[in-house]
Amino acid sequence: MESIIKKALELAAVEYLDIHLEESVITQIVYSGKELEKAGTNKKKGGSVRAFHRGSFGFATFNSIDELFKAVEEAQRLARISETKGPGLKRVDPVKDRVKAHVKDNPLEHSLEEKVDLARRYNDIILGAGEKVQSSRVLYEDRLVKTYFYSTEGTELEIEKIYCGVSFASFARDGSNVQMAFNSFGDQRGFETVLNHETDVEEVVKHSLDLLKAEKVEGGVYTVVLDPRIAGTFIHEAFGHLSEADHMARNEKLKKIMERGARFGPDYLNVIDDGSMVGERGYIGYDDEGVRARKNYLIKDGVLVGRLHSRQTAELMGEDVTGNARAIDFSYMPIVRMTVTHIDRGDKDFDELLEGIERGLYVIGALGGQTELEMFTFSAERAYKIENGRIGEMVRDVVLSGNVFETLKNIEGIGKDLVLFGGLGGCGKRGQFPLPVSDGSPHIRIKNVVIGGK
Amino acid sequence: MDKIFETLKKKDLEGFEVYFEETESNPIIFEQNELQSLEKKFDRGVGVRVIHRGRLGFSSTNDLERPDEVVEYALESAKYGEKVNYTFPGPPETERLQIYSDEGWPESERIEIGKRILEELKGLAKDVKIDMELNYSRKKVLILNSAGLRAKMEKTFYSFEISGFTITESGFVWVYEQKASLKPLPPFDDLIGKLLEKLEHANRTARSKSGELKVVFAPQALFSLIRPFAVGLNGKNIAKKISPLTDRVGEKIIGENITFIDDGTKPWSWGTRPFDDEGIPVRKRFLIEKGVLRGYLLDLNTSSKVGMQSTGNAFRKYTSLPSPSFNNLIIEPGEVPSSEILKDLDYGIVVHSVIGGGQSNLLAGDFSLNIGLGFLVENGEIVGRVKDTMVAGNVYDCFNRVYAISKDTEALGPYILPYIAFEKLSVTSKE
Repeated sequence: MESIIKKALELAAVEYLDIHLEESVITQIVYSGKELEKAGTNKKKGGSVRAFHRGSFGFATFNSIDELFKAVEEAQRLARISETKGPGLKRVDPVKDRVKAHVKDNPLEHSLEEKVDLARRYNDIILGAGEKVQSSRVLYEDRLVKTYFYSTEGTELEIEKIYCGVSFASFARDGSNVQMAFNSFGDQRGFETVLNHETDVEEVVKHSLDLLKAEKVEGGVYTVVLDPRIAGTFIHEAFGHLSEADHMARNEKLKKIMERGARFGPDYLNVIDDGSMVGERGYIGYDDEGVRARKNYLIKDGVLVGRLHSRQTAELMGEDVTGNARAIDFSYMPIVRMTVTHIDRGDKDFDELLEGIERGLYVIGALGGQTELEMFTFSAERAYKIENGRIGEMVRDVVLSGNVFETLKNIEGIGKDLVLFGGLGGCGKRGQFPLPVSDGSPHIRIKNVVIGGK
Repeated sequence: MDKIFETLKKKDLEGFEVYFEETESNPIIFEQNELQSLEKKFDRGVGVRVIHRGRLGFSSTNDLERPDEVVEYALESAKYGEKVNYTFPGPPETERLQIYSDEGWPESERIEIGKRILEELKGLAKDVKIDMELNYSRKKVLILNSAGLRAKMEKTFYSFEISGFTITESGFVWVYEQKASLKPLPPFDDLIGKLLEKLEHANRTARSKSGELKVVFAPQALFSLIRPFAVGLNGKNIAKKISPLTDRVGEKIIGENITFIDDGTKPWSWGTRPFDDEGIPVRKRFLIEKGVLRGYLLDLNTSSKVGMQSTGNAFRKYTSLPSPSFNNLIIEPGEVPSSEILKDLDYGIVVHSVIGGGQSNLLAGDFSLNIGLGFLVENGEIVGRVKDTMVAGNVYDCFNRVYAISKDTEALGPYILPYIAFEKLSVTSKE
């Protein structure tokens, strides 16, 4: 295969061209209530050619290696159509490397039967929890992805990744009141990630039942303490996306707002994106332009110090590459994305974070989040009232919104207990979903957060 | 394809199906006022479903050279698969629908259009950064099954999307417009006017009261209020009895001025197709008629579980099993133009986009949305943009308090939606 790729690269007559080949094998098991909805393996393979010429890209995808030469011609034709004369791509040193998956216990060596048994065991715990549990959803997934990346600059990479994870949801119903709780575990560590979650499943069931009795949250402005999971979603939405340089590379006004040295939060706020954290779901090693992943501080001591780049945005802004150009698979162009995004440890104990809150909420678990860069929204699985520094009864339907220029500055404390989360979902941007990412944080406390409701 | 079919025929199976899909798309993308990329994307593959000893097996591949492998994977999967209570359908009786126009859309023409729009906007909206995607794509589907079905369909897609981003005194502003059809698009210069109008209004900020206010959802924002219905009507949730609409066909569930139609036959509409992804003919039918629930969204699997017929709403890619969804969802328009609805608004908010749709308890019908782009209206005049403001409620409740529906609609892909005005929605603003 290597010789075919090298021959194809010889056809290149543009500023830059790369070839990306990929093979993936995905095993999925889905229990939906009593039914095993799906248990099986799917394969996908194919590739793409990306050509860059005078400021714009041409991109062609294909299924079979026989079509590689045609795709090389097509990508170059598409790149040449435009007569833009934009800047080039940031120079990087070519790399040659072969990266194996870092799993201890390879999920691909376990039988489908064993995986089905595991999913069934978790599913049975949910369905056996009483008549108020109306239904369940348990998902097991493992995914082997092998990629070959070659460029006209001499970069040659062969990368293997193995993702493995499980998620479980419990649906409780009381009349027309239906409530859901869920949890998920997923990363690149191997099969052990999906084992021994019986207690976690029981907790999910309990939460779904408790939610039936919980009141809807009263809308208003609250001081909140976020648990590490939703604090991770918060930082991903609140600052991660704004740090993606493609939004600002050609926007003078935004560049000014995002100048290095601008204060975004208190002194003890540190925000990091790090694609080199082996084993995490958002670990990449190299990005999809062949740039080595590294630890990038976005906010250090409350001050903006960096952002996330592709080679194109780095060149446009005259900054260093960061290794953040990613595509969900070979059939998409890499764009600027996050990897493992988190708030670093602070110095507060959990009790200290609760101290002095007269009317607040302790918010737990994340159902999702969305941003328009300035304003963002993220939603919790459940929350508990905080009254006079004490945790009280559960409330539900907690959707929080914020504004990047205020909410980060409203952080009043950061805990010591950093946790990173991967799971089975991912991040969506420009039609590319789901991209495996991790996010995380210690517990954090924020004042003046708008929460919707009656 | 035929090799896979022949391999399956030799196995001892109660039923089988081969779903072949080929897509080719050619998007042209402008980013931040520059031509960013031209792409040619091609994908082709098959999904194989088998019924073996009463259980369903599934696998997919895009390696068409190895028919044995995908069949083996599907058979292995059938060892554990769901118990099946349905059979694959025979050849459908379908009408000819307008879904294919291979006139095409030359790359050079699309680049020209993009550049012209950028030039035009340069004068009118100086600091606005424009992203655009102009796409022409084609899709072929071929379904073969053990009941003798051999259904073939070919569709073409033409779409234009434009979004503008600017930073004004009211903060970051995003505006968005789109047009999509299965035939070449008529001129879409009107979209630019709409875009500019929203940008103009977003220049000023306004503070809304908190409390129960009148709120008008424009089509782009209304989409977020449709999602709970999509979940509630979905046969999967009916079969699991977790939808609040379970066992309620014939009952009045929302206000009698509301009608939802699923019409997969509407000429040139995004979701139009002669048959669904299992080969079941697609029709026009009421989901909610004058507030009364008339039916669900069903495919073969979910219909067999609830003891009904498939409604022709199966959707899939070759990599996945079918799942029910709308073909084209039409909310029946009203009598008044949207401009009148706004003119008659004494105090309230008109919402054009929201942040955080789909994050609430959709099954329960709840929504809690951050207003992305929305304007405060007083005495029929737009006062300015509201920010840091949320609107929350439950669709099964607030669709009983619709006081106006516009005559004009917007087609957002397969969703054809009017403006809808609600009485008394909960608004929380940071004061």
